[in-house]
Parts: sequence; C-alpha cells; structure tokens
Amino acid sequence: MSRLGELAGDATGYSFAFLDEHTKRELRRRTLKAVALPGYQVAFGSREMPLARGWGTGGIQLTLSLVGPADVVKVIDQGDDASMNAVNIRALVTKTTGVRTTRDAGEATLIQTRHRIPDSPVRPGAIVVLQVPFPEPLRLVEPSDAATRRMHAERDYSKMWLYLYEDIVRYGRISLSYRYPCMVNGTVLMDPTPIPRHDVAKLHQNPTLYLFGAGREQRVYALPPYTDVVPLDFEDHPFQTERAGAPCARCGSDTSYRTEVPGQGWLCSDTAYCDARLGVS
Amino acid sequence: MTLLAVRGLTKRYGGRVACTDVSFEVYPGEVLGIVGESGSGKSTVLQCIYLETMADNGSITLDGEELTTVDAMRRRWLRSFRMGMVHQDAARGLDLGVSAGGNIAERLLAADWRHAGRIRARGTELLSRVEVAADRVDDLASAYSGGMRQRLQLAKAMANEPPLLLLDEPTSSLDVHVQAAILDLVKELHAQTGVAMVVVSHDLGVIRLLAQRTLVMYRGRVVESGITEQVLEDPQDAYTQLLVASSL
Repeated sequence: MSRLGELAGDATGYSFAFLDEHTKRELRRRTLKAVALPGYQVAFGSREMPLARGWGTGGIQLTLSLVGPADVVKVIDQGDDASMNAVNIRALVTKTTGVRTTRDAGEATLIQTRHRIPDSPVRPGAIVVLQVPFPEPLRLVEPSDAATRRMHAERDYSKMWLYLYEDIVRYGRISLSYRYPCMVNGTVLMDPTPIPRHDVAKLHQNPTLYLFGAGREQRVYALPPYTDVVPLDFEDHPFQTERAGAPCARCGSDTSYRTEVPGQGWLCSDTAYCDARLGVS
Repeated sequence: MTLLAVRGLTKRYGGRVACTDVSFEVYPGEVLGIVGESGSGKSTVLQCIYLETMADNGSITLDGEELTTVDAMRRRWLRSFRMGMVHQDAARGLDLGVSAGGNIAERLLAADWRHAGRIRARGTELLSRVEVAADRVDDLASAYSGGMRQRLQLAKAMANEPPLLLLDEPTSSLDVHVQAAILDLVKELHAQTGVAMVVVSHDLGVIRLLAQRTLVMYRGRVVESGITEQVLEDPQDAYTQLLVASSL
C-alpha cells in the first residue's frame, strides 16, 4: 500500500458509483428539475472527475448519479463501444459500482453516449445520457451568457433564425451538420449535442428519456419521453438528414447512420448494431 | 384620434436632466419635427418612445397602449410591428456583419416568416422601394456606403409596415447631395404609405422640408411648438429666435 493509502486508513474506500451520496442526490434533484422543464438548462455543481473536463464529465456524473446495482450499462463514443473514451468511462463505472455492462442497446437500462444515438431500439424504460460539449444553442450567435439567458426567457430566437437565413443566402442551404438547433415543446431552443441530423430526427416524440450533461459548462437538461423536438428550418429549405452514399459495406443496412471510411466504403457508425445484424458479438 | 401621445415625459441620467415634462401628440400620417441643439434632450425623447431607455416619469401611449410599463417581449413586438427607427449612426440600427437582406429578414423572421425565398423577395422589394439595386440584397451591410446604410435602415424600419417611424438625425452624417436624396426618399415614402413620423434634427432645413408641426427643445424642455412654417417664420420664444437667426 502506498504511503498516502496508509495515512488515509479506513477512508480509502470510495462511495458506490464514485460520487458521494450528497452529490448524487443534488444531481438527481437537478435532473428532476430538468425533466420537469424539457430543454431548459439547469445549473448544477459539476464535480472534479478523474477525467478531463470536455471528455464527458457531465455525462459520467449523470450516469453515476443514476446507476444502481441492478442496472446494465452501455457506453458508446461515436457509435463505438470500443473507442478509448467509452472504454475508460465504462471502466470507471464498473470499477466503482460492479454493475454489468453490455453492448446490446436492447438490454442496457442506462446508456451513456457521445455524438450518437444507438441505431437499434433502446429497451423500454431505459435512460440515455448524452455528453454535451456546449449546452447553449445560442452560443453560435451570441457570446454573452447574460444575453442568451435573456433571449431564452423572452423566447427571442430571431438571431438563430437569422443565422440560418444567412446560411441559405451564402451557401444555398443550411450548412449546419451537427449541434442542429431544435425547439423543444415549442418553447425552448435546445442544442441536441453533436449528434448527426440522422439522430436529431429521432428525438421527436421519442419514447425514451434523454438526459444531457455538460460537465465543463455545469448544465443538465432533459427530454422526457414523447416530447416535441422540432429542428429549426424554412418551408423552402426543410430540415434534412444526411444521406449515405451506399448501404453498409459490412452488414448491408440502408437505414442506419453510415460514415465513409477510406478504403472500406460506407460503414455503420453504430458498431454494435452492425455486429448484431451479422450475428457477431 | 391620436396615434402617439406623450405626457409629462421626464428622463434623468444620474443628476442630469435629459428631458423634463415633455408633452406632445402625433396623429396618424402626420410628420412631427423636434428641433434643438445637441444636448437639448430631443434624442432622449425618441429613445424613450422606442423603448431603448425607460422614462423616469410620464406616459407614452401608442394607439392607446401605455408603453412605459410593457414587458420585454411586448417591447420587442412593438418595435417590430408598431414602430420603426432610423438611427443617425447606422451601426446602431443595423447588424453590419449580416447581409442587407438579412437585416430586413430579422424583422420578417420576428413576424414568423418561415420561407427563405419569400423573405429574400420581400427584402429585394423593400430595397427597391428605397432605391437600392436588387443585386445588392445579399451584400454585407458593412459593404454599404453611408447613404445606402440609411436607405437600408429605412427599408428595415418599414419591413412590417408599422404606423410610426422614428428618425433620429437621419441625414446628419451624410454628404449634402446624399442628404437631399435621402430626404426626398423619406418624403416619397411618407406620401406612398402615409406612415406617421417623428423626425429629430438639429438641422432646420430638414425640419422645414419634412415636418408639418414642430417642437423646439432647449435644455430638456419644449420651449415652443406649432405649425412648422409659423415656428420658423415667426418664432415667439427667445431661444427659437436665436436658433432661426443663426441658421445658414
């Protein structure tokens, strides 16, 4: 045992799920408030975590505040269960809770993800936690936080609309490819995080509870099941999802979100979905 | 029936009185001039009406609606639909980093226009009304000359066809021949649309050309008011006499 460990004595043990009970309780309260006010950014006291801010500290704090001994956890990063960020976050969760993990979206009760929503159906009653780099959708058009709060309070989203209009004037189309701004319940503008538009389209009237955690920016927000999530668009430039160039070169899916990999063609970004279709696990 | 009624308007900045006990009315389709030297409080009156600053005392009603107590959302609505403003400094009235069409679009978007093509078409139409070439609609406002920026401000102010336009020294920063062109345009817009205007200027020539009735302000107070011709030809107040006598 290290010298520090000796000095600490009985105090070496961590709480279940790393965070202390008061922190978890506070975060759950904030989460409840977020669920009660869909799309509204609720401030929370983001803790120092054993990973760098900007690497999913908001998502991991939400996950740790919610996970119980009976949960089955899935962690993905850009649709991949095996990427470094996902592996490390999963390791932290299992090491501090001992819960079971899975790659199967249909089996997991708690899914933490970055930049993707699984292509396979999520188990009913499961919670999806998204990592959020920038919770403020208006940051694109307004640097001041005081100003964006006022704009939300007054539902003054003309600057965002103007940004989209200017985009069309300049490029002939809306060029936003990720962090596509959406109106939630017709009242609050929300940043859906850098998920592709393919996934943005899934959020509308979705049966799953989505939670969004921004650790660096100290904000949580939520989409309760069956919430209206409507991307901003114009009648003559409707919101469109990405179109892949070909079906998945591996599993042949033509409905999944696919990305082009040099030398391998178009492949499913959700690796667990792709493997499941091929019967590989 | 009055369109705009200002009663006992008072505004202080700290210990300094910007304007005090200012009262007047504007009728639909009328052009009212407010003249006075810099610091006389005339711009403050306009800012209070446009709700850029809140009056300390007094009341302002537009079509019977009290403006001094409205909330922020209503204020934004009033500014989009019931009033338009042309600032002396175009940078205050325009977003120079956005296209000319975009500046007009801001007003149309506030009015829930959600068709980019129609917004652009309406922007082009408004720009042609202020005699800006249609092919300049997508240019950045920062690429516009001083005179064109004033035209663009006019187009933006007129976007939702409000019943009241507020013009704060609309031509003061322009060359003389551009001034004349803008004043012609304002007169023409007035003739075409019948929009009521409040024109603030230190330039008696502008007031004489545009305003049917005129208020003279001095040190925050209205010292004289009446038909423009009468005020300028037969001034009663000592300050107005000085003002008229000293104009070129």
